Amino acid sequence: MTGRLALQGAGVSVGTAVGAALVLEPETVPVFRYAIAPEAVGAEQARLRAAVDSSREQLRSIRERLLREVGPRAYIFDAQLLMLDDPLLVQRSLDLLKEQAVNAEWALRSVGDELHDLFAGFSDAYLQERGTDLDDVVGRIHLNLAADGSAPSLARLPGPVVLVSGDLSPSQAAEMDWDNVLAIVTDAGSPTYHTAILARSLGIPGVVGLKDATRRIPTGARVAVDGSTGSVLVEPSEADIDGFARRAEEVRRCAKGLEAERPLPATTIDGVRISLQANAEFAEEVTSALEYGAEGIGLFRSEYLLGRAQTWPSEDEQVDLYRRLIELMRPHPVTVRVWDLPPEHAEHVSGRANPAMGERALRLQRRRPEPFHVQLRALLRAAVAGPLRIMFPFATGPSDVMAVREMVEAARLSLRKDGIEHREDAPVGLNIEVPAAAATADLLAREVDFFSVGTNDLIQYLLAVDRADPLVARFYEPLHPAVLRVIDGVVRAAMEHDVPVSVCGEMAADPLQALLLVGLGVRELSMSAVSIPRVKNALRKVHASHAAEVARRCLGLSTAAAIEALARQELLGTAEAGPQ
Amino acid sequence: MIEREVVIRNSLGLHARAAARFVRLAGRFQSHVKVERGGRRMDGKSILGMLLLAASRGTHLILLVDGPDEQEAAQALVELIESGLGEEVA
Repeated sequence: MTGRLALQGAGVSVGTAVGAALVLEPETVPVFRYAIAPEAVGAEQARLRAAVDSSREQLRSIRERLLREVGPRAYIFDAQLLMLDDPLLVQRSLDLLKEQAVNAEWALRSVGDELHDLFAGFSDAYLQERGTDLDDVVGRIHLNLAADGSAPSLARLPGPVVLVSGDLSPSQAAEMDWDNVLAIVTDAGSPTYHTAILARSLGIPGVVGLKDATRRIPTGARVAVDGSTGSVLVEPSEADIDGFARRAEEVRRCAKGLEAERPLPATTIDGVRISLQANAEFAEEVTSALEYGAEGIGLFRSEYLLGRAQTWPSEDEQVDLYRRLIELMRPHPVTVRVWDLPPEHAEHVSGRANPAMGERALRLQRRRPEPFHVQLRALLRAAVAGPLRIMFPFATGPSDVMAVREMVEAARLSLRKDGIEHREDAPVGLNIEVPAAAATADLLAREVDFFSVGTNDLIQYLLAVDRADPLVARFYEPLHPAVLRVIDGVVRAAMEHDVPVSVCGEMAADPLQALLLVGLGVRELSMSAVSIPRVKNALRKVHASHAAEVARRCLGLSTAAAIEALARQELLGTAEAGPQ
Repeated sequence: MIEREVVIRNSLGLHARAAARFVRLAGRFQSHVKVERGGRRMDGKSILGMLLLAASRGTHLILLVDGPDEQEAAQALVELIESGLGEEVA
């Protein structure tokens, strides 16, 4: 175990937690470390032996097949088979399991890593490669351990953990046993990063942008996380933990104060009603969104349904899920965003290509229409149950609207032909997140039922800042004059054509920025559910007419700092200055 | 206990296939088999141990065989190495 270590990242969600780290490594099955009761050591050793036996059977049958097909070259597997009986690997793992009273996976992993390092240390390339055989064998035993049903996985964590990962992929997130996740810590990211949004919507502490947390925090280490300050302590002292507990208590007290306002509407002093909705990735989040006072799901990120298996869910599965969302939220609306950046594409864009500007959403649809067709059929069917809106992401201009219309029409036609009950007039809208769409908002507004401004991507594209890159994250300025002007243009175009416009980026979750959006004329805000009480609190203390006047004045200012200073003085000066 | 010094003669040295042959043969005897190279001693019935000796052609090894069938074991193992571990002797 390491000694005390203090790391600093960007805190992205309110709250603190202390627990055992689980470090996720990219592309591998995570290996958990947990203690085994002394009386269970025998059974755990038997688990390991059984996994070794299964591995041996598998390798034997592979070798027999190869002997028939390629002849003597099958000797490669002779070495692997001998490794399975090798005391340096198996017996040492069994011994370590007993000595440390740890699970089989961890014992095998520790011994495997040690041997791997010995092979990697050779200068001889041939011997280095034998390390590959070893890794192969160890990997096979791990797979057999995982297959025995009692093994923990991301979907069934062995207990509460602090998740430490390079980056949390959507498929890992979809599969995760969130009830047992105390906090999330990631190497990548900035406060507007996707994992950060996830932490906020789940209401658990998160710290992102730590760069090398996965390398510096060992699995099993005790970790204290403060999501407000971004502080992460490895092996904290008792005094550290007391400090964390005190801050957690303050956060709870502050939340209690907002609690009283929960049943109250989000109405400004001069009576303008604002609809505060929640962003969500999973149906499980809807219940907690209601608890925070959400009046709808403003953004349901459907691609999370693809899960770790990365398979498209069937039409019926989707109908069930969308219907569940609608039933939980009725009478409030649910806006489902059509597939965006499916994970299967993560591989071929992970190289030099830039996934943010790659073949996503509508672009992918042109090459692979089937999953979109199935989803649209499911959405139109589910819409019978209540107010469901269909939102298309990543539109870049009027030609995309044509594609959208054709797609929706094709889904309607096929449902009609099949005689399946569905709603013909479910509202269809666009996510305005690409500057090209914002620039053509007046043309788009004639053709669709609603706009939803995705500020996270819009700001990223507009300012040419990758928000996942810690080196440039500070250039990501939501109050940059360009951002306000572009949003102003979109809202005006929408109003002119009587198209409702909502904002579903993280700007909506920041009380000051939310007030400016209301000043620009936005009447629907969708955010991480945990942010709703704070935004509502701020809204209830301002006049919408005053916010409008301040927003006009801000449009004439030349820096984000000047805009923020004016807005803060004018809008939060009378309102309470919330946490930054 | 029997102690014998041998020299690796086959061109590829004690690599995977050769090491596998040695370990399989050692495993047929009841005796304990140790193989030593420059003070590092490995279990002769461990493929990982044999590979980790990193013995290339010309390497001197010491075999230490101890047990009820040590005579036959030592003889068979020495013969295997001297015949080039089933491979060509350059």
